[in-house]
Amino acid sequence: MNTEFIQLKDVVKQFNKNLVLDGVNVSIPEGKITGIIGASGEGKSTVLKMIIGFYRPTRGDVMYLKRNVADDLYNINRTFGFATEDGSFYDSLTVLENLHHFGRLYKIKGTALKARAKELLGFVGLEKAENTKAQNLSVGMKKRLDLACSMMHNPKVLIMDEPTADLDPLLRAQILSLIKNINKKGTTVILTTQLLEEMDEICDQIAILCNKKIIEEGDPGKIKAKYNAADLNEVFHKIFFKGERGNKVHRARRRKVSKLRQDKVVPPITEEQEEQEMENIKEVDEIKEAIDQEVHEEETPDENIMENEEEMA
Amino acid sequence: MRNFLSCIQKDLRIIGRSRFSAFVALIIPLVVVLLVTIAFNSNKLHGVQVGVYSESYSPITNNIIKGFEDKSFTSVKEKSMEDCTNSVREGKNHICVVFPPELSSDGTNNTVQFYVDNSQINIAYALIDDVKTEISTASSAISLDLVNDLINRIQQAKKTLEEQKTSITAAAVGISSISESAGRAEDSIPNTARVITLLNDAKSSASELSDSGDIQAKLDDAINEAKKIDSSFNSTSSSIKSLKNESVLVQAKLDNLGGSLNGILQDLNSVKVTEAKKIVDPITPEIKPVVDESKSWNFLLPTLLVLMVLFGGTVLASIMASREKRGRAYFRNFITPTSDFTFLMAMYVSSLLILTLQFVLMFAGLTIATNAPVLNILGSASAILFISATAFIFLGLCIGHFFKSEEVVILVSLSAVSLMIFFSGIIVPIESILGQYQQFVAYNPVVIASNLLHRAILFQAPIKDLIPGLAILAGTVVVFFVFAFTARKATKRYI
Repeated sequence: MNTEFIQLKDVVKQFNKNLVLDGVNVSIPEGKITGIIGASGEGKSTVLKMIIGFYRPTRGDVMYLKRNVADDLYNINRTFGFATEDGSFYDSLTVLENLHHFGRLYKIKGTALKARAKELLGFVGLEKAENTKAQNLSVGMKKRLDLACSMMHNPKVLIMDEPTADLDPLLRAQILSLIKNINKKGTTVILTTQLLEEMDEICDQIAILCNKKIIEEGDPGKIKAKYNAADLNEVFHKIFFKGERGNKVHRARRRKVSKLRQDKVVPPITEEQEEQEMENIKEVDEIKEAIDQEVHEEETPDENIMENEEEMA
Repeated sequence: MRNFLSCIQKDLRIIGRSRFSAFVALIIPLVVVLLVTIAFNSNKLHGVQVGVYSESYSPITNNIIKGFEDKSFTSVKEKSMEDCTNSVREGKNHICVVFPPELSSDGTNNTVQFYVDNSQINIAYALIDDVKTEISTASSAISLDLVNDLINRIQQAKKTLEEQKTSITAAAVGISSISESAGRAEDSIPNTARVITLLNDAKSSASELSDSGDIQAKLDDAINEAKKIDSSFNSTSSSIKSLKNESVLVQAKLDNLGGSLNGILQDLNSVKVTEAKKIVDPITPEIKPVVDESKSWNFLLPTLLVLMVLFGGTVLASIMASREKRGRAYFRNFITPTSDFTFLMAMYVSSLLILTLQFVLMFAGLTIATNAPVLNILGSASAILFISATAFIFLGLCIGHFFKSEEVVILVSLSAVSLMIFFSGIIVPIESILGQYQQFVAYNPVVIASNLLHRAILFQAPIKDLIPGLAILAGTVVVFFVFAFTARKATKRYI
């Protein structure tokens, strides 16, 4: 296994005056499922889009097989697939037309194109909807169509940005199962999600993005042990929920999860469980203070987090 | 190539599946043709309101006003000159015509004043031309009366001269006759000297005779009498000679006069134009149009085609580029191994195909609606349309890629189109633009395409004559392509 399959070295990304990533270092192993955890607006999607070459780092390097992605974009485009959070396809085209169109852009021809499209339709379970316009698909079907589009060229690396967002538990389970199946075929998967249970369930490795840096990277079990946490949710709380900033993040997260629960996207929890969660938060404050002292980082208001909170509110 | 064709196929599908887009692409050309052929199916101005004012309306003035109404103009008699001019300022009337009081044929004060709104340049001059035509007709009528009178008088003089010439000839003949008669009278006077000689001889003979005293006395008396008669005859003969000489002189003068009259008559006869209308308008302007102006759409066709290419190409391509850029598929397109050049060219070909479809429909509509010989103009016109469409599509793609929101893209593309139209002579004559700017306007693709289409469609200019213009147009294609490609590369949308 190539542990330096994809590497980000001291990557800094700045959009105008807005510093999003500040010295990100991470290695993504080949053939594994790697999850990137971070609060909303921390820059997870930016990391993913830099890996595929859509964004160029302000400083630092993004390497694929020890070659700079920016210098090897054509090869990256042929090798990588990307499933976006909102879906990236043509609403006016049917499912099959979308697959054919993007297949042709990947230079797949004739019968191979048709066969691959049929195979993927079966794989993502959209056979019956092949002649349905994308705009008429349900949210889950759109996710699956986007996944199929991103896999038309049988990529070696599949990047997925929030693949289970806005899906009900059943659909989430289906998508997670698909991701596992894709990975079993040898495809390296890199993904982000807000639902950390999923990370726990499928990821071989996680990287935690906090304050514009990767602060933890490695096997989920080891990270949980390091934070003395039962699951990744607890790790997340211990890292992020600190002080007023932490409370804001927590409130935003609570609102989002609450809405998901109302919509029956995630299962409801009991009042006892909720109280326990709040207790955990108090403990997290103390742990986070210790971590902050270790890394000697100055706590500053994060514009991105504020913006996202406002949006969610 | 497959991905290029796939992009075109995708663009056309997206356009086709949007009912509104399909409606715009298919129906609008037909509607345009219908509206143009119906609206411009004559060469007159319509709905023109003419304000008129005169202190007192003479029959001639009323005739002119009636002439306006015969031309489908609406004439409004205003109460004062101020009302009349204000009506133009307020837009109630298109033009104000102020006639002098009692406009008459004596021509003392026949100045007619026009008041027009010069800001409406195109219609102002057309109105002046139209209204002037009516005034000119009346003016010609007055001139005609005046010259007719003059001609009549000359004819009368000619007639009198003809009559006088006959009298003079008759007088000359009479005098000649007198002269002859005097000559004959002179000749008929007997030679009395011979009688006197004979009488003297008789007296000499009688003196030799005796007792001839009485005979001699009588002969003396006879001689004396004969001498008296001789003297009298001499005197008469002298008078007749004098008369004869004088009559010869008079005759010579009459001949001279007759010659002069002949000269005058010859001069008068040499005037071949004896019709007053021809004297009033010695050079009759007969305007033969170089194109068939019976239907305005015919000579509007080049402009119409340019406008369709301009709007269709620029606006359609800019919206297509903007939607592609704003669309959710933008990201996936970006991460596929397909070059920007391929995407740009695919959008260009898609726009071109839609424009071509519009033109096919429009030409078909024209053929059906007007029996226009469309096939005759397709050759060189299609080359011009192709190159100009290419230029405008790349301009649209440039705008579509450069600006972020679709609203701004539409606004900018419409502004660009309006600007090019404004500086093209379609709305304002290019000649009214200051000289230093005219050279820039000459490179406006709309101006070039419009001129080329005029020459190709209306004058059937061969393609080789159009090559210089086409080369400039091709130059603008290159410029717009470079801008469009640069805009696409430089303005990547960060999602």
